[in-house]
Amino acid sequence: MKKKFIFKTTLIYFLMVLLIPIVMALDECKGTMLINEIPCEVLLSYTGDCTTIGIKFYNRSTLLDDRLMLQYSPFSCNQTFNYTGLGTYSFNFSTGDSGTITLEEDDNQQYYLYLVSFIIFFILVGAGYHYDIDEFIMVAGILAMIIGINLFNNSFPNLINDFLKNSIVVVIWGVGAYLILAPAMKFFEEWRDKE
Amino acid sequence: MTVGFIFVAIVLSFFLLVIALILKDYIIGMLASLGIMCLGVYITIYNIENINNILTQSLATIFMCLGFYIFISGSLEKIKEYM
Repeated sequence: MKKKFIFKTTLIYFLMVLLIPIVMALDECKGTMLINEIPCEVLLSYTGDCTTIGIKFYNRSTLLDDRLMLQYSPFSCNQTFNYTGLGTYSFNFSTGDSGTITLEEDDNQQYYLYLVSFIIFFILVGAGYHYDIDEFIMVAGILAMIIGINLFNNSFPNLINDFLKNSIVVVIWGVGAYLILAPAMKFFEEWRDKE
Repeated sequence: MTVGFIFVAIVLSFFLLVIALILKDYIIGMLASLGIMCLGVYITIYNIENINNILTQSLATIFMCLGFYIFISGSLEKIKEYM
């Protein structure tokens, strides 16, 4: 029993030791960063006084900021990169070194956006047909058409095949058009029958 | 892999709306519609997780209109009950 406890405790300590470098590695800026990984640290290997080194951040050719480096460790200096607009940023150290950071959108968020849109679509269609609320059905139709247009314009993450993309767009757009037209047709038929 | 809080908030608001529709409870429906309206305003101003396209802007408009519609129609039904 006591041996098991000691084994478990040792295992936990071992895992904790393994986790430390992972957490530190997350902070460092890489060439390509996702938007949710910002802010990150720009590091420079340097053994002297870091406050004598300047860093300039550029977006294309526009100067965004001119700062001094801070002491990160006895062998390196750091400065925080905290820009959230998508695109490529470059930085120049006063030592002559330079680098670029490309900020990209997180693909997962695109998946979630489509997922949430479809959840809302199905809730509206379900509620609309179950409680006979035509407005909900029509709004669901509008949403489906917009999902189709957005899919056509911005595509889906990792979807390269145009034929597949366009086929899905046509189907979703068609479903949207039908959902808008169906309640409208019902209304006009009722109106005609009244007359 | 992280899920933005905005997605959780949207799903929760619509989950609340479904519960309100199932239970036919005005108060829950009103709270859900208020939440949906607030989400619409939030998305208009701050976008969804830095994604700004036709879908996010349309979702914002739909949220605001849908929240307003549910709020007003629910209130009208409640007023009619008292009259």
